[in-house]
Amino acid sequence: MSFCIAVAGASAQVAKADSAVLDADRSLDEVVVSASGTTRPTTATAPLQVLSRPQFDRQGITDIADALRRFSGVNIKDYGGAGGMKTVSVRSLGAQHTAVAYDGITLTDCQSGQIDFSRFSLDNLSSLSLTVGDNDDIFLPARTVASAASIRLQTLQPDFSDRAWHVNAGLKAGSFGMANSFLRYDRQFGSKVSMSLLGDFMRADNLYPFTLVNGIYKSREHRENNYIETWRGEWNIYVRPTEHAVLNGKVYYYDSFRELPGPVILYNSSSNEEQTERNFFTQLHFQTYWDNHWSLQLNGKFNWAYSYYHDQGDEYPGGTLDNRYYQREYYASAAVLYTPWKSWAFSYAADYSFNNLTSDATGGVKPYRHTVLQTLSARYRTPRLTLTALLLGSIYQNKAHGGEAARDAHRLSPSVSVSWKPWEETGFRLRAAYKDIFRVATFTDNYFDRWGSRDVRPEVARQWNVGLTYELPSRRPSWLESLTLSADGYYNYVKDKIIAIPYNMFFWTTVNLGHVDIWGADVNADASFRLAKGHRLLATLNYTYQHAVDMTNPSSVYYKDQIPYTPEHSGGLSLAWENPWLNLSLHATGTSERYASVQNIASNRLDGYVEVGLALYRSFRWKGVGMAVRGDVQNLGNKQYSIVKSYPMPGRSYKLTISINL
Amino acid sequence: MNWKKQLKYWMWAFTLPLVFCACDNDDNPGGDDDKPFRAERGVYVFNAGNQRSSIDGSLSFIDLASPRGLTNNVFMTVNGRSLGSTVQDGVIWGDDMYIAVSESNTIEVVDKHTVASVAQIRPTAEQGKQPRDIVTDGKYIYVSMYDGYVSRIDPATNTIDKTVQVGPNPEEMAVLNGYLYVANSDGFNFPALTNSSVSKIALDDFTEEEKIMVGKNPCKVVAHEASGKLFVICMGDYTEANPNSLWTIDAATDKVTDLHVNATLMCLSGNTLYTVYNQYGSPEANSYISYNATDNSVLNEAFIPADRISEDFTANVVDNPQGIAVDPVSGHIFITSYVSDPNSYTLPCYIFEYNAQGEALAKYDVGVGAVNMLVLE
Repeated sequence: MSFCIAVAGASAQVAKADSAVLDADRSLDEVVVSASGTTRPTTATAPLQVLSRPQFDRQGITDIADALRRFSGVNIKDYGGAGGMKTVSVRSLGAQHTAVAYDGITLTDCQSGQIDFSRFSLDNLSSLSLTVGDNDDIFLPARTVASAASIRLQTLQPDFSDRAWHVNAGLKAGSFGMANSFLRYDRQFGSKVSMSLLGDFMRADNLYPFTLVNGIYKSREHRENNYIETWRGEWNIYVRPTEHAVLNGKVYYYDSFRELPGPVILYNSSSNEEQTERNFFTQLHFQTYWDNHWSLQLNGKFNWAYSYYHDQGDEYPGGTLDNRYYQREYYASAAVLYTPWKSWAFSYAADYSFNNLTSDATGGVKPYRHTVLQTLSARYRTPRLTLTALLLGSIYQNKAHGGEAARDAHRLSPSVSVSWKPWEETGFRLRAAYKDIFRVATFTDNYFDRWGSRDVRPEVARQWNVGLTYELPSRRPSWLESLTLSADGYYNYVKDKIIAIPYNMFFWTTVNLGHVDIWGADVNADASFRLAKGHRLLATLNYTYQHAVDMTNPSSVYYKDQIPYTPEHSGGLSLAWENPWLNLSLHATGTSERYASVQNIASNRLDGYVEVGLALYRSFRWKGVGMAVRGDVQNLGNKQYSIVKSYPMPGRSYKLTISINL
Repeated sequence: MNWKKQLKYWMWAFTLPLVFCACDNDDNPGGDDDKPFRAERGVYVFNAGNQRSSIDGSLSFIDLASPRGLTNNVFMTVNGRSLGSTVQDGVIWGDDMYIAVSESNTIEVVDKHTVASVAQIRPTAEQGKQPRDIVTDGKYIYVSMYDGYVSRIDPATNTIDKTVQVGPNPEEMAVLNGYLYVANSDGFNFPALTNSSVSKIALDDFTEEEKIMVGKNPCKVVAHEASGKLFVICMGDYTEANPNSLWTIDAATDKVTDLHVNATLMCLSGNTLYTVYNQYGSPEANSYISYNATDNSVLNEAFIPADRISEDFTANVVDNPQGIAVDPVSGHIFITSYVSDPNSYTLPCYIFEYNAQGEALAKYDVGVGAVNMLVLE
């Protein structure tokens, strides 16, 4: 029967994915046998980092972008404040090489190719994880492995072990007019069906002060035109049709309005830009297994996204500039897992998606795209050795109404990885991975007026990784509860990088030209110390080294210069003291200097910074009601820094969160 | 564009026996104070910077008095602060130079010799925004505002005392016979460009008398006093139907003529109109034609000769010309250019100085986005 558990364990991965990694005790019911056989950061064949819900408090994490900063290998582009766009590039490959999955199904944006993390809330997440390359978690939709790295957001699933309904409500208030309320209702209908309904509203003025340096002068200014409000609603249904099957459905809606402050421009702080974004999606996930070694999962999704940009000024005809973009996606995926023998697993997945875009920026052309992705993967796993191999076949077929379509693309992308434990007794493991992957041109690259080019080929990214992990074996001193370490070194390159080059100020074109070489190292450490009864000290550390240089043209003035917005050194640490009274977390993240443009000269340099934060948190029961209180101080040192040049980040700010659980 | 060819060109170009001036890339705000800046005779260079990449604009000065040399970041060095974002152009009135700074929405008034700031004019909402071009009739200074206005600065008070509405997206202006002519590009209305025109503004009462219809997307205008004529570059809409073309306006009759020749940059010196055509930015396809401004006849088919053309690459000419100025004293021609690079808009530009025969004499490495020049006589 042991393989059966392994199968179930594997089949639970999508439903519970990474929550299984650290929330092993939160299993839903007997069907979902977690832990045994699932992928863990120390045994993964390719780098895997996970943050689960308890760590959000312990590491003083305030939002998703902040959580991602605690991962090594990650560069966040953050335009500042609650409303500022936040995108993530992993290992200097660029944001468009990062896939983002929400409850197992990837989010897409065919227009820009990147996902803005400011639109997701941490409040209903059970975990988030980052996988670089492909690891031994092979039972996945093909699209999840079609990028160089993937970030997976896993929402909280209700736990009805005590009673058949729950209410969770909370209120957050913070500096710069930030207020956020959220409400969640979970309900169980009999033993087979349950649901959760959640809603969330956030608003912030974001008119935070900053110090403007202009030559030898300094002045105190504040951001203007930076208001944001977002509404978010989600309905989930969880069905157990049989003992061996899971069916999860989701309906999601997001609506945001934000003012865009733009970059800080000397002597001129006026800005009228606004952006409205709406996103609706519904997705379905079905998974089952049979005793004859087979598992199946089916996924489907419909996605609709609307984006509206508005600016006003007499320079525009009619006094306004309005751009509207509509995207739609239909997505279906099927995957089977076959485990004929104890150590072997094979998987095949096939995904189809249809994307289209309607916009007034494409000169009347309405582009659409058919995508067929298939993966074939194999895994051999024993307690000391794991080997995986994966082959992804991609077909991108571009079409357009009312104009010429962009060129098609098809490729075969191999990936292999291995993890080996050389000694039975110690907790050391060695790992190595290779992945050859690419990204296709976005609709912006292909079709936008005076900019796009139909002839753009895919941008190729190749990744090599070697690493060492350590996990404290079960025989350990009583004061040391856990200790995990990982260190990875890597070499990547990006070639045929898709870039826009100017013909003149007015006409640009998009070509495959850039080449970037990236050497780097990621280090993670996580330890938990038992100080005394009821007292624990939890420490984490992450460090990233990136040497990412432009190798495009030896005669250019920036040949071998570090690529923009990529620090050589970055990292973070957190220390939490958990005690019976009031838990305390102190954390810091920082980066070394970066350059805002291709040329590494002083005028393009952005100084390094360290940002320190503090969180105080406590959960308790009061008259039978579960309550949690948390206070945050962000940027304790009131350090003035920018992640993106001319977009200053907020100084010291405060946040208070109160929530109740019924 | 073929980058291998570009590379070959550059390797060759750098071995040319040009007089390469030492450039002073001083990035330190405040600068060195061993020798205070003083300009007597030379060329001011207006470097726009690059707003999209948050690179501020700057001012460079090519000193033509001996010893010749180049100073970059002049405004920052002298005043300890930045000139601002998207520096466009400047004009001299009396002892002062007025500089239009578009994105920062300022007009900086500086001493024309020391560049010490005299005043910073910040237009109100009613006075227009995004200063684009700046000219003078000797009495007032006129600034075109990209949101559709022209504002008048009284140099006695260095304040805007009058504003007149013109067509959409005004670009360059010229003064002729008591009138100010403003090229209304209608650039934000691309590709329709239905409101392209040249506004004719009477300077005595500062009102718009009429809108003269020319080709689509007029951007540059110069006035030739001797023949009472304006030259207008209409950029067109980049289609066969409305190509780039050079037009003239007869100031006496307001009669317009399409000369059916291409030009993207121009500069008038005496009776010679120097034009550069660089619609799509490849050095091989650029043309440098000079005209007799009186009768519009061609003086020289290539006033900058492409010295050598072999295997499709050329030398002596710049990569991507952005601005042209002629020193009336020496007849030397200055042409600004972006470098040949996909990221050229974020990289420092350079200027070639040519003698009257079109032979390159010197190269100056100036700031990012060098778009205009002004000769200080």
